[in-house]
Amino acid sequence: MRGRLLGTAIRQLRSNKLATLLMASGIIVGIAMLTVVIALGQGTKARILERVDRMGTADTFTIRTTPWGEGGGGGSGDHGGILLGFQDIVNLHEHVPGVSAVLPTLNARGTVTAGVMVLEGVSVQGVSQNFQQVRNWAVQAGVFFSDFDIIEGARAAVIGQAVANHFFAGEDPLGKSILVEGFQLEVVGVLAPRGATGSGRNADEIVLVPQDAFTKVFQPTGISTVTVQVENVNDIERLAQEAKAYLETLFSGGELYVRIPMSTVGTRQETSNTFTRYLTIVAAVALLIGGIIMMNLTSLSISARTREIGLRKALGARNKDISLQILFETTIISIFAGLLGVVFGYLLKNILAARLELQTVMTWHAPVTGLFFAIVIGLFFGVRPANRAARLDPVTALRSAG
Amino acid sequence: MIKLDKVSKVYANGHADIIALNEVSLQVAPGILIAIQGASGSGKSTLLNILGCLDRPTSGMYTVDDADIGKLSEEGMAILRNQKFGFVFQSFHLLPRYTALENVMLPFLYSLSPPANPEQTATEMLERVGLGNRARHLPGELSGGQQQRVAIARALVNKPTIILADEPTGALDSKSSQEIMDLLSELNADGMTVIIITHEPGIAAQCPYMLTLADGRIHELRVPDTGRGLEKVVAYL
Amino acid sequence: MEKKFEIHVRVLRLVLKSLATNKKRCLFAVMGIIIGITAVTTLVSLGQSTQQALAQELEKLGTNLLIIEAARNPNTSRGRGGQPTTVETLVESDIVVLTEEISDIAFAAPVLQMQGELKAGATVVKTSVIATRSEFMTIRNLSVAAGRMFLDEEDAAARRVILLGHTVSGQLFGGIDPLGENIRVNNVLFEVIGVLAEKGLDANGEDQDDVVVIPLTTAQRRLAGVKYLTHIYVRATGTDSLDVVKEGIISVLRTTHHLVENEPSDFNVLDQAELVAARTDILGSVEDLVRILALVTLLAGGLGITAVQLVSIRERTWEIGLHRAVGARKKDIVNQYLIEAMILGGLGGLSGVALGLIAPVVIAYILALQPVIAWSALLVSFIISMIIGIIAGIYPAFYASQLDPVVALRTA
Repeated sequence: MRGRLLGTAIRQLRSNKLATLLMASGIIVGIAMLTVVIALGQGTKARILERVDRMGTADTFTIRTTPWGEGGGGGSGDHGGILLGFQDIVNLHEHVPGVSAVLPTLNARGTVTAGVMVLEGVSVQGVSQNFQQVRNWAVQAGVFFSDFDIIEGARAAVIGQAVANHFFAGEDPLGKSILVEGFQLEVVGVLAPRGATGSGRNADEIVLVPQDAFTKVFQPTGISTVTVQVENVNDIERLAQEAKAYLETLFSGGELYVRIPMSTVGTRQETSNTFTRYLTIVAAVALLIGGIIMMNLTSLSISARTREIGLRKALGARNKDISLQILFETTIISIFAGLLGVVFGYLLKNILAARLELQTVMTWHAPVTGLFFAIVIGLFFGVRPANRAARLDPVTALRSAG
Repeated sequence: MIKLDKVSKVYANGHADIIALNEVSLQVAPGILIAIQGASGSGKSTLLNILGCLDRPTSGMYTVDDADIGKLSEEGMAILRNQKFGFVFQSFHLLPRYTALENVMLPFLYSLSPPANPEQTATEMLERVGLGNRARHLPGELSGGQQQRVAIARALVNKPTIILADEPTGALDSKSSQEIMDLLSELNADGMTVIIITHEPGIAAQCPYMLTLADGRIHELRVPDTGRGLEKVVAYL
Repeated sequence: MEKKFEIHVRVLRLVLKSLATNKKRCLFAVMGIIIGITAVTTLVSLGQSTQQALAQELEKLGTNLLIIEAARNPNTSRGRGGQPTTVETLVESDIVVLTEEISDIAFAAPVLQMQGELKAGATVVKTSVIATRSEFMTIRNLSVAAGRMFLDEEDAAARRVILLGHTVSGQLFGGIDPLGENIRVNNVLFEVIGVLAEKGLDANGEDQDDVVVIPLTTAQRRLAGVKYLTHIYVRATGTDSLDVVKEGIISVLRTTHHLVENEPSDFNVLDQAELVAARTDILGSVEDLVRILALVTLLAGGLGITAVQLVSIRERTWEIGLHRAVGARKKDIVNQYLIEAMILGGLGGLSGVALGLIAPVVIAYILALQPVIAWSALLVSFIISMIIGIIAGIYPAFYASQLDPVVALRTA
């Protein structure tokens, strides 16, 4: 009996293709919307979190040879203790997978002079090419050091906005000379303004020089601080411990100290949660829309079939025969509409993602979930109209205009 | 054998109830060809619907072959509609997007034990009504008379014992009307009980028995002159 | 001849009767419009609420923080304690002027920052000493992990009390509770009354716990012997007003410090540029997404509305054929259905607006977000849904009325 009813359901759907398509449109719309929304939403969420990670140095951790607390806010000067060798740092990349870049930090405070103007206690840092990537700090005017500059230890300097304003207000600082602890350097670039650090220091009061140049000026005997950037912020705690362990095997001075930026961890979590809650609402709305449209259309199309239903009952169809036939029709429509919806959603998502310049990833989760929901909605919203149709009185049904 | 015992059908309509049938008592032996006549509002359609198990009486008892219809569930009535009765309607009620053959096969869908080869049985029925060569046509491609014949074939396909026809010629011209009447007479000659509602005197005259209803009551019963008539159909006025 | 008014009444009655008999179709047509308006408004409103929540989260990191620092002294003389000198023109009265003149300043705190050498027993630690008032804690989102912050009375009395940052506390006392202990700061005896909650490294990789806090007056009288400030910390009411506040500070302070036009400022106003930029990007991403979602939803709603009308097109074609068969003219039909469409549209539109006002508020409440009503979304979705609703309602009527009545009657 069920087999026959299934066959009839299919026959009925094929006989009036327009009606079938209209009924399906509710699900197609709902599922397509769901697919688009989830994909775009996930893409946006990933971009937002990535931006949080890139804030300042949120995706890095710092390792020092001496514990924090030996000076005001941030690394300072060289220390009497034994330090890490340059080579150790370079190899870190290979020994701890997941590390994307390593920046040894050479840090000192020095006196900077240009013409007759003097600035004392300026933060001077010796850097490698990785600086821009790890610190997420780009040059606003001029250029950053080239590979050649780094390798040769060229006498070049990249200065912060505050330094530029102090010495060269109103002029172009590029190409001018400054003296750092008596050492002459040519200004090749100016960093974008950064403003204040959390501790209240002016981050733009800074001068960058190539590592080797720093060494010539300040003569440190090694690195005391290393900033390490990771590929995936979720792994940062594990990688920090691994890097510390690895470097400790090389460091003959004993213990190393590692810190990860904490303030942004909470932010990241909260941001993720807040945004996810929004996405959930959006998904719910999409499903609701699809479901309501589907319910309306099913109900209407059943009204349009009262006469046919009356006839079937006159020929001996029982209430459950009618119910079952309509449920079959609804389910079949749901499955096909679900699939079509996923396909449309996929196409639409690609168009929209391109416009938003978002990266979206389509895993098998979306289509399967979409299909599942399509069937659930179809059944959920199809049951009531089906039962109502089944209970129609054949006499009145036969007399109706539909 | 059909028996109606003081069957009434009342529709509640606010404070003024409509009494469609008023304590109708009737007995019909198998194999009868009977016409039911009456002005509109006399209750003839209601009577047919109750006879065909499309509707339930409000009071009274209706038995078919000693089975009390009142005790049947919705499902039981559906089974009877499928097996025992065959309906023919004034507006044919064919499914417009199904072929003639598919329309005839429709009742098999709901049969508890359909025939082994439904298509063959259906085709035979179509041939029986003279439309074997139109099996693949859609109703829209057939004339009124042809459509009604398809409807009759559909009514016959589960080999019912009783045919109920509600103004079967109402939508047809006189030539087609006669064709249908001839077909129904043939079926009766083969042993089927045929009950026809009609307002056309010409059609009613071709039926040996004729029941006239008025205001929900049996007004008159005409039986054939060949004696034995009163044994077959008994009506209580 | 019927008077014009009577005709209108008759048509209206006809329309209402038609609506009453076609309850389901009308209900669904109205529902379509309601959904269109409510869904779009809710999504956009909640999107804005979410943006606000995100902005607030970022504000915790200090996106609305401005730091006024005294400019560097162009003279070459070395300052006390080996630190660079600053000009001495930044003073406490500046704060009074600023808070009076600029309404978007929520809080302002005076700061004297200097290098300090701390001794606890044999342990010596060098760190940054911040001398300030209690507002500082609010502005910098600092809280006390143990003990308490000093009171304004203690500051006025120049009491020698100190709060240690997490790192410094660890350096001086190991894991022991430092509350009540005495330490020397630049050789002056202080009592530890609190330990600041751990904050970790900031976005620039600096240790925010490598700091100690003492009352401003104590520093001015007993440690440094000066009356000027090194910084003024300001919290703007919102990150959106940041630029306005910044400009306001510059102009007010220049006036207060009697600077003439071409003289360079003797102060700098800094914000945390990186954080502000991140905030802009993040909120912008959400904005883009919300906009697209609104569009998609509007489209879906429109499709829904249209589909509903299309499904019952057969039924209505037959009805219209019947009406025409008994004498209705084409324009009578169009008229009737136009009125019907407008009634339904109006009903749907108003209900949609009502729901569109309620739903976002209720959902925001459930999600613990700030409720926001996106008025422009409400208006746009209202207009578009109504237009689609009316056109979808009329078009089938228009199409059907063009048919020959006999043909129309056959569609059943």
